[in-house]
Amino acid sequence: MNMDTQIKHREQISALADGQLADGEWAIALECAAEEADGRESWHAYHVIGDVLRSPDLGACGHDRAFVARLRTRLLAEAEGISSTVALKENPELIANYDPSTLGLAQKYQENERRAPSAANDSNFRWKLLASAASFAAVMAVGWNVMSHLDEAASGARLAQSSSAPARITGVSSAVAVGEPGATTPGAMVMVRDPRLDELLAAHRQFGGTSALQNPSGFLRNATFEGGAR
Amino acid sequence: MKLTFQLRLLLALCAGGALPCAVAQTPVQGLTPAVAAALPAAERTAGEWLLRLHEASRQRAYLGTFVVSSASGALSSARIWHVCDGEQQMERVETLTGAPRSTFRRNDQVVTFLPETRVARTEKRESLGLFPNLLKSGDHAIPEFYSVRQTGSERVAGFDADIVQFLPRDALRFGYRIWSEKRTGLVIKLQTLDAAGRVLEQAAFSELQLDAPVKMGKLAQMMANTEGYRLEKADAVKTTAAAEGWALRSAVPGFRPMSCLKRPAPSGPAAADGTVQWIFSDGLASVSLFIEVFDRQRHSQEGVLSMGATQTLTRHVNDRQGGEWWLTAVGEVPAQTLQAFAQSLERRK
Repeated sequence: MNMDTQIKHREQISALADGQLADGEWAIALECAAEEADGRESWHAYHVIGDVLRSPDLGACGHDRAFVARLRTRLLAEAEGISSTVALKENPELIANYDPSTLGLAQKYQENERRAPSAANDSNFRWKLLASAASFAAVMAVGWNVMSHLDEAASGARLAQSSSAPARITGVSSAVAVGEPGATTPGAMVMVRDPRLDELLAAHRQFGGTSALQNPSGFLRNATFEGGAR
Repeated sequence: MKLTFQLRLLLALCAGGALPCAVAQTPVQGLTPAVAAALPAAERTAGEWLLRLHEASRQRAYLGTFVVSSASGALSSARIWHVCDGEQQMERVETLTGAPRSTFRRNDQVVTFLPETRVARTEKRESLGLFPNLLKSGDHAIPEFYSVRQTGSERVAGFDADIVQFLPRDALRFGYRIWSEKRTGLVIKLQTLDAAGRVLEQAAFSELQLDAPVKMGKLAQMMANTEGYRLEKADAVKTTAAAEGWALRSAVPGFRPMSCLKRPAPSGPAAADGTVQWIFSDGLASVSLFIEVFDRQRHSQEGVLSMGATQTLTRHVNDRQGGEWWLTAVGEVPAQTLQAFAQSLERRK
C-alpha cells in the first residue's frame, strides 16, 4: 500500500469515526478499519484523540501520578549517593508496575503525530491555535501607539483640510494606523499604559458610544473590548 | 379558484414580509421595518439598512461567541446571550479574554460585574435608545456623509449574509463593512476600514445560534443578584457645553453634539473642577471631548494615539484669560477629525 492510499484510508477512517460517511464510502472505510492492521490502529487512535479532546480529564492520567508517587517513595528509601538511574535499573518492577496500556497509548499517539499530521490532528491543531491565541491576547493587553511627532500628524491634517486629494488623506491615515510600523519613522511609536486614559476610554465607550450601529454590535464590541483596555 | 389564488397571493406576501402579517411575524413597531425587510436587498437605502440591522436584534433570541480584533493585534472575545420579547431586550456578555467581567443589559440599564474586585457597576446608557427613534423619524444625516452599497454575499459563522458597505464621503470618518444575516438582518460581522480600505478593527460572531432558548427570567435573575458585590453608580451629571463655557468655533462637518456630562476629578486639589465630557456623533461614529484643568504633573504627553479603530488626541489648551486646560479627544474616527475638533474648541467664559 503506497503512502497516498494509506493517507486516504486514514482520512476515510477519520470521517467514519466522525459519522460523516454514507453508503459506498461508509462500507469501504468500515472494511478498511476492520480488516487492515493500520486501519484498526488509526480507528482506535482517532477515537482516543477524540475522547481526550472532548473531555480533558481523560488526558490527566491517574496512573502517571501513582507511578510518580511510588517512584518518589522508592527513591527516598534508597541510600544516598545512588543515582536515580541506578535505582531504576535495580528495580525493574518500578517500570513494570507502570500501566503498559497507557505507555502503549502514548506511543501510538506519538506515532500518529508523526505519520498522519494533517488528518488525525486537525482538531488538535485548532486547539493549539486557540491556546496560543489566548496567551497572545493575555500578553498583548493594550496596543496603544503614541505618535510623538505631533507636528507630523498636524501638518498632515492641514494638508487634508486644504485639499481633499485622496492620496494625501491616505498618507495621513497610514501614518496613524496601527500595525503598520513601517509607515512611521522607527522610534516614533511608543507603547503606553495610562490608567487615566483607560478611564476616559471607558467613559467614551459608556456614554459616547452613540452610533446607529451600536445596537447590537456596538454595545457588544464595547462590552467585549473593554477588557483589552485594562 | 379565484379565492384560492387570492389566498396564495396573500400568503406569498406574508411570507415575503411585504405585509405586516400578525400570523407570520412577531409584532413589529410600525410599518417601516416590515417594508424595509420586504425590499430587495439592492434597493435599500442607508436608513433602511440601519433600521433593518437594528430591528433584527429586537426580535431575536441568540447565543454566540463574539470576537473583536484590532489591527494592532489585540484580540478580545466574549460569550453573548441575547433575548427580546418585543418589549424588553436583555443581554448577557461574559468576557473570555482579560479580566473576568459579566455585563448585563436590560434595555438601557447596564450592570457590569467585576468578580476579581467584587464590584458591580450600574449605569444607564441613554444613548442606546437614541438611534432607533432617529432612524425611524429620518432625522439623521447619515446618507449625506456615507454612501451605502451592497457588495455581495458571504457565509459567516454558518449563516448566509449580505455584505453592505458604508463608505465615507469625506476624510473625516472611517468606512464600515457589515455582514448582515440574509433572513433576519442581524449583524454578524463588522469591519472598520480606513481611507485605504485597510481593516482597522473587526468584530464578528465566530459561532452563532439563532433563535436559541435564552430565558429572559434567568438573565434578569442573574442581573439582579448583586449579593457579595459592592455597588458602584456612574457618577456623571448632565450639563451643557455652554454652561461649562465651551464652544466650537466651527462645527466639524456631520458631527452633532449629542450630550454633555460632568464628573468629579479622580482626586487631588483640582477635584472641585471635574472633567467635562462633550459627546458628538455623525450617526455611525462618535467623538468624546474630555476637558479638564491642566495639571503639569499628569499632563505631559501631547500626541495622537491609536488602538484599532479608536484614536485619541491629547492637547494642552490655553484660553484668553490665561487659564490652562487639558483636552483628551477620543473617537472611532481618523486622527485628523480629532485635530479638527481640537482646533475648533474655544473657551467662552
